[in-house]
Amino acid sequence: MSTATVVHRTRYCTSSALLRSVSEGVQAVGLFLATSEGPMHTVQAPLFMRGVVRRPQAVADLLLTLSQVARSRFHLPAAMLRQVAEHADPVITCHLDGIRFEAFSQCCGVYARLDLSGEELDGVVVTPGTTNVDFNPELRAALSSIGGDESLRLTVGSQGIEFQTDTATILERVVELPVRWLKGLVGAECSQSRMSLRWQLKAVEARRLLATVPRGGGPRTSAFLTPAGGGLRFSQTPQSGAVQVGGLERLRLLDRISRHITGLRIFSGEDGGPTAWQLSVGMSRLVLVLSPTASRGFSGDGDGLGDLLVEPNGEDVSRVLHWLAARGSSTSDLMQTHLRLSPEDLAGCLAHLSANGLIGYDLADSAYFHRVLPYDLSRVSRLNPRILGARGLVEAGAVRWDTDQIESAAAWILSSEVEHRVVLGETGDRCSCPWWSKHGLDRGPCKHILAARIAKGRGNGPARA
Amino acid sequence: MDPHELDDAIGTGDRNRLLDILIAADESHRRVCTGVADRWEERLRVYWTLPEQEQRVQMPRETAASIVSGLQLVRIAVGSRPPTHAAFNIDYAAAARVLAARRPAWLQDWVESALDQLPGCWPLVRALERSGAIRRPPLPSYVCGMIAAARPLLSTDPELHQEFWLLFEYEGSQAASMTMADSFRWNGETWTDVLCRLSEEGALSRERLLTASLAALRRDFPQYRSGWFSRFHEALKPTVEERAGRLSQYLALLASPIPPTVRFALRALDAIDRAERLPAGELIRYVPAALSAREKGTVLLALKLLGREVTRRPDAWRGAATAALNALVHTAPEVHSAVLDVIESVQSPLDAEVMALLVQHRDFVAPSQLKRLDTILQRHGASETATVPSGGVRLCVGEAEPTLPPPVDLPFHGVPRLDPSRKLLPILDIEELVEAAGVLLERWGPPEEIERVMDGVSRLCTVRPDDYSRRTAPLRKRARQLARATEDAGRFLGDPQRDLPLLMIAWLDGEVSDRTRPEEIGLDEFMGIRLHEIAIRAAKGASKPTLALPTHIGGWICPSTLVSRVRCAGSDIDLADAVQALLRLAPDGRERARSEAADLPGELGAALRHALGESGIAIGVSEALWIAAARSRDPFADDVAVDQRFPGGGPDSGLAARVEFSVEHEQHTYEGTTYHHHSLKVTRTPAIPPEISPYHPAVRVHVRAEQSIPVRRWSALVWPGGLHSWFARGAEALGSNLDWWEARWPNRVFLEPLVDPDTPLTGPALALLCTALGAKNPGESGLATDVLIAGITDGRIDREQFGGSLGSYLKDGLLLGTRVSRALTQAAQSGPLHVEVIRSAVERAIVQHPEIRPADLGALLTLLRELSIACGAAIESSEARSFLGTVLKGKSGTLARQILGLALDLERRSAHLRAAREAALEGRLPRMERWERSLAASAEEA
Repeated sequence: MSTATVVHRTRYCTSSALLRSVSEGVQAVGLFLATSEGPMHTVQAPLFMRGVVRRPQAVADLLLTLSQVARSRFHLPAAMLRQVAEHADPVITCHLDGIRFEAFSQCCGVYARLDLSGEELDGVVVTPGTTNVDFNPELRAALSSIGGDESLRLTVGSQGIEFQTDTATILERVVELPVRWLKGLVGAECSQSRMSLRWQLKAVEARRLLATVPRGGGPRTSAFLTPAGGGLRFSQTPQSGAVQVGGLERLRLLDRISRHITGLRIFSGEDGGPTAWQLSVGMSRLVLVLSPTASRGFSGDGDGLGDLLVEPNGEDVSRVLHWLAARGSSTSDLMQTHLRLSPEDLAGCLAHLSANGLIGYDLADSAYFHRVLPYDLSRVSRLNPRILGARGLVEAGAVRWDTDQIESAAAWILSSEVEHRVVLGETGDRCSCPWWSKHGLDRGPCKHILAARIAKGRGNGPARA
Repeated sequence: MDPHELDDAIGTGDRNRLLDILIAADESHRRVCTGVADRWEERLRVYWTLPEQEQRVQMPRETAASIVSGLQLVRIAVGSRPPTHAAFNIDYAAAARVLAARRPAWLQDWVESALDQLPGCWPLVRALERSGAIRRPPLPSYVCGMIAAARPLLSTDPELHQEFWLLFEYEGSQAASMTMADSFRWNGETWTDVLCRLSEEGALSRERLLTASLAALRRDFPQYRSGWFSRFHEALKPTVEERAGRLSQYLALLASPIPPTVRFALRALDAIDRAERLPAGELIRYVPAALSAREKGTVLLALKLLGREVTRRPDAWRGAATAALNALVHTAPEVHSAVLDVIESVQSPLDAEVMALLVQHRDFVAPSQLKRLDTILQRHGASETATVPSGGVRLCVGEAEPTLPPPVDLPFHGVPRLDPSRKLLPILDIEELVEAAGVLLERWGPPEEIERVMDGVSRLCTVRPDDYSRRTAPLRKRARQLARATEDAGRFLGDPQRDLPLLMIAWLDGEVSDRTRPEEIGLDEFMGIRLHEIAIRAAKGASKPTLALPTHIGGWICPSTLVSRVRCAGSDIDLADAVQALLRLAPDGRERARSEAADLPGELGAALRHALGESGIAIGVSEALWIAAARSRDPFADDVAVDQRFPGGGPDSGLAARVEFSVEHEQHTYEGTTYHHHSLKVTRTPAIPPEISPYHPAVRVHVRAEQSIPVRRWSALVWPGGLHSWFARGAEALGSNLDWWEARWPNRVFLEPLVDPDTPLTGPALALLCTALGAKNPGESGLATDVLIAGITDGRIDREQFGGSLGSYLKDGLLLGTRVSRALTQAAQSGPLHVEVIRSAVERAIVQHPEIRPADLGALLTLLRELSIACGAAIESSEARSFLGTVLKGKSGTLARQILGLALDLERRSAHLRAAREAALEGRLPRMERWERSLAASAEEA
């Protein structure tokens, strides 16, 4: 079985490094994060930012956790059995309020975002922008040696300006990223906007809770985060008000930073699905978004497909993008008010921008932020099989409305030599295909439901079945 | 080289001649010689099939062996690219000479792929690389090859000493890593032995070996593979001097995500510290990471080092105290005690920040350490400290202590099962049936849904609306697809995943497959028979509702409903369906149903009346029906009449099963180490007979555990009143795999019905619960903890019985005290009622079973001490006091003395007991309300 891939090139003029120097008897530690200048990286700057990190050990552990996410794999999908999963370097965004790192696991089920706030970094952003950042093995080994009271100078850029680096050595890395991975990355972003805050814990409670995550493989079934006594515990049985967490062992990624935690907020959707774990470390935040189970990546989730069905107005999209680019981030309420867009139109614009890697969602502020993911996402939106399949069915005239039941909008969809019955109902759409039978609407609508929705939206029915 | 010359050289078995020919040949000759190798291979294939005598006549076997080895060289020397496995076990030096002379275009690619799959061919790769015939393959696979094959060469090939250091930079692979390589010896030596020897001989730099092994530990190697490097480092026996020189490396390793590496680094630092070579301040900077470890031993060692640092450098107290507080997140009271040791050793007054941190952690400190913490806080001037739980009324001496209500009794005939909110409705029409069947084909559950679809197919199989074909087409297609995928697995074996597509095909296309007889006796065969009965009926178009469709979740059937179903069915019944229906009779409303059933004709009518409790019924001829009726009548009582009519049926036939649990101990010794294996055995009376009819599901419950999760869930619905027998089998299944020797995921399904507040937690259910509390798998022990919490909340746990069972299994070595106490600690955190019940149970466990092993006893005593302090209790029972008085030695002795020294804290105890009693009553309310609803609904129906 083969997997569709997209070739992604990163080009580092030098490697990231941690350098120690002694000046006038004082030991200084410098962390240089090398950024990529590959063809997808529109922003190419020798220097993105420089500053001094206030809590070096915590920041080092946060960066190590982030890089650990990028290298983790909690499940090997059948389609990738023959392919050694490669990982892409984390993405860094320098913006006026600080630095944002994003990483996505190889198994497409864990997304991490680290926001290093300006208060943690006493420095200046020279060039705002987004690119890949190098986390090589030597850097990771060195980061673990940072002591608690050391002073850490951080420089981010493509050239090691203040470092003795060999600029003649260009490190070019070509990674074949599965389309599944890219779809998952975008899907993980989308899933956050549908979450709400469920629990909030103080430092010690949070550390205690994380210490109870089982070692090893953990149970195969989902756990349920449930109130017990004065705190929370991971239960194996569903209870009302509990938050379902699949693939609990993935939370062990937080082991390294748990001692730095100053607070933990847990988010999830209304009816289960992915969960987000937002850890505060001083003024910085690390968000870990987990897919519903370890064997289920974000790539298969289609909760946002409905918003992508209708091509949004190009002008509206452009206005939303400029609004976000100018402000860095904004809530949807604010955008609706100022851009005079209906909630549906705004949702369409945001879904379109998100699918193209142009915006992300920040749970802490319930706000969208602007950044340009340095990947070729054109194939992702082109290859969305369910939307493509749905459009194909509509084009082929496979949707036939059942006129007897026009009010309940029942349709027959001819697909793969059989007719599937789709009912678009108020209480949820239904279909007779195996996908819907297996997943219901948990992973978004099937292509038949999407086709019926497209046909209904266009008003090209009902034809007599 | 021409084909004749090559043929001749192969035939003589002369290796040197063959090699000369192969090396000297040019590419055009090589191409024409391909057929020679094929012919020889065919000749040899025939040769090896001949009888030995005839082989000797044709050619000596040694010559044949030599030809085989020569042919390996010929394969790579002639023709196009050979398969990768041609590099397996070849004469590497000779092969390298041939390939270096030939240099085919495919060489680089072939070598890389061979090295990937056969790391042992590394000598060939190295020889080719050195001859310039290839570039060095990618380093990860090159290093894997070195790990697999370089060990014997290292002593003889000094040039290898340069490349050798790569071993410390790459982790290896699943097939070749240093850890794995060292589990086998080569000429009696492991990699560790070879490297230590070469280091002693001066061939390899000892300094570099020490440094490189530490550097390897800082790379991202997984735990299993990195373990070798720490073991190797210690095998070099570094001196204090050498360790001190690598101080920064050890300190950095304290932040390693691999627990054994952290422990290794701490031990090294301990050695440096004991030699007083640890520079001031260094430890405090790096130790917080180690103090956050989960392993108790690691944290205690780190605290020990920290304690020494404070003693040596009193001015470092602030950093040390702040660092030590990290360890308070750990749940072990010993760790908390060690943290307070460090804080207590601080001579200077604690500053506001440290005090604030201490107050922040106070709620999480073990009860036994709270007093110490409060004293520290008071000594350093905290304004508010101890917070005694406010219980309201003070208990005066002589006043009766508030007591907990007794455990809830849940007799079979006393629990209403027909909760109107858990009613199951039959499938209404074809549209609903098609949708439900489609969902079931993909999800295989829940089991009640299987029953609804079975009934739907049986009842609606003749309904054919106009658009029937169109509506059922997707289901037909999918069922055929799924049936094809599992066609080799057997037919109607009781597995919904495989059987439901067959049922659909029978319904939709009228095709029924014959039933396969299973190889092993089990309950699933009965379920397969039921599906097959319906499939035959649906294919014939003989529609009728099933008798066995549950009317309520849990598999229960309302007795009145069954009476009317039997009346409607008349004489047209399927045996398995009837047996199943009888076994599902709910205990509620039997009296009314009995009067309704008075005139039911036939043997089934009589059996049903017998099941409903009517006396004086003449036992009929159908053994299966009467055994089911007997079990349904009272799952726990013998039915003498049925047993006399059908004797020797086994447990849960005419006679109810009596089960006894015992722990079986096996031991074996391997390479000087003795391994112990404990498992739970169930002895059933009467004994299981060698043959059991598939129509006797109540007896088959005792035989074999089903193999998949959907089947096991479904099997719980076969005899809802007889779950105690099913739990016994569950306890046996879990109890033979407590250490998770095998990944038996379906075992946890046995625990699922225990969560139901109406499932009694006595007898086999209690045995299952206790066993699962000691399971290694977090899924099993976590679910058992949930059951314990729920059972305490709703009043099903009897402290005496629970403690007795736990103690018995601990005494027999089935359970480990540490695992059990971890689960109990978690459960106790749920509230005062849980603290109280678990404390009493632990006390009972040690009193009833004083022979518990010291290690397990220590874990229980620690828990008993903490819970007793938390609820202000002292040990009052004279049995417990006299037992504790006999525990004198070791850690358990210390704990016993501490527990005996606990005084009753009247105020705390009173408040605690009131809170516990309140929680106990509150926890029973939902059941009362539910039962009231059920009884009201039954009365209304009547």
